[in-house]
Amino acid sequence: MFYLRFAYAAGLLLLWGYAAMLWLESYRVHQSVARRNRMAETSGEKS
Amino acid sequence: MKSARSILTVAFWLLVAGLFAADLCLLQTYTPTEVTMGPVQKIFYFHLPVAICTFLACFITFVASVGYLWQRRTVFDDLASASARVAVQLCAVVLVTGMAWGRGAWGVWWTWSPRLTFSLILFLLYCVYLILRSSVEGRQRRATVAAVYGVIAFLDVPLVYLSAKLVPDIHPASIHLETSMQLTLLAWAVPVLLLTGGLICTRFRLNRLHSQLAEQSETDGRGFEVMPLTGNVAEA
Repeated sequence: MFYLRFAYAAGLLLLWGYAAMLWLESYRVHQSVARRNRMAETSGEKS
Repeated sequence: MKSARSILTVAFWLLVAGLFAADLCLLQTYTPTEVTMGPVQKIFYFHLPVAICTFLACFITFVASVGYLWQRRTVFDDLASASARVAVQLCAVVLVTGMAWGRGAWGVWWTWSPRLTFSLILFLLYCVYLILRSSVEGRQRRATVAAVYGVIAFLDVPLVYLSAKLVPDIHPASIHLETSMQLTLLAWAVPVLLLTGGLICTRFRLNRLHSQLAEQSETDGRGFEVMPLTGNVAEA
């Protein structure tokens, strides 16, 4: 029974851990894009 | 439009998580325990769909690599990279669940049987693919080298599949299943397939975004830096 639980726990943790890492990276990239766009708008207004 | 897409994305991930939870309940309540192997046989319902999805992810990398070599479009390179990353993750799950099965059924964590050895080689081949991508300079050169390697690495997939069928192996080549066991296998195949699709799509969208930003940075001369997790970035 231990090996059954271990296999499911480890497998699901690996898959969902990777999914969580992807969401986090996705969030960071979208935040950075928004910041970049804001900066582009600001510099456009100043010029 | 954007918020509708976000809601759909959240709904998709919640659905996949719900299906996994339902399948775990199914495994506890509905699925019969196999007589000779005992509870450890139930690892099979997770192990097999993940193994099939690993092959699928490797195949997508192969097709996208051929597509890049043929048309030289970055969209193919982004897709190949995304599916290769997911393939590594899935292959790691196949190895871990397989090792747990081996320990429970055969009494050893690892044995150098043909299928296990080729599976480990597959995992290492795609790890090298990712290392190769990060070590080659220049976007076009990196994409070309990775595409050639992606085509060659796929050659191991038929070897993994055929190894247990053609060569005497401790790993079972096929298993006879009762109807209730077949239903459980099908029930596990659905969320694993959806999760694989979701992971590849998410990684692919991220890769596209990175590629577009890199192209923009080349044209307008402004660099692009991903925010650190704290978010305390001084406005330049």
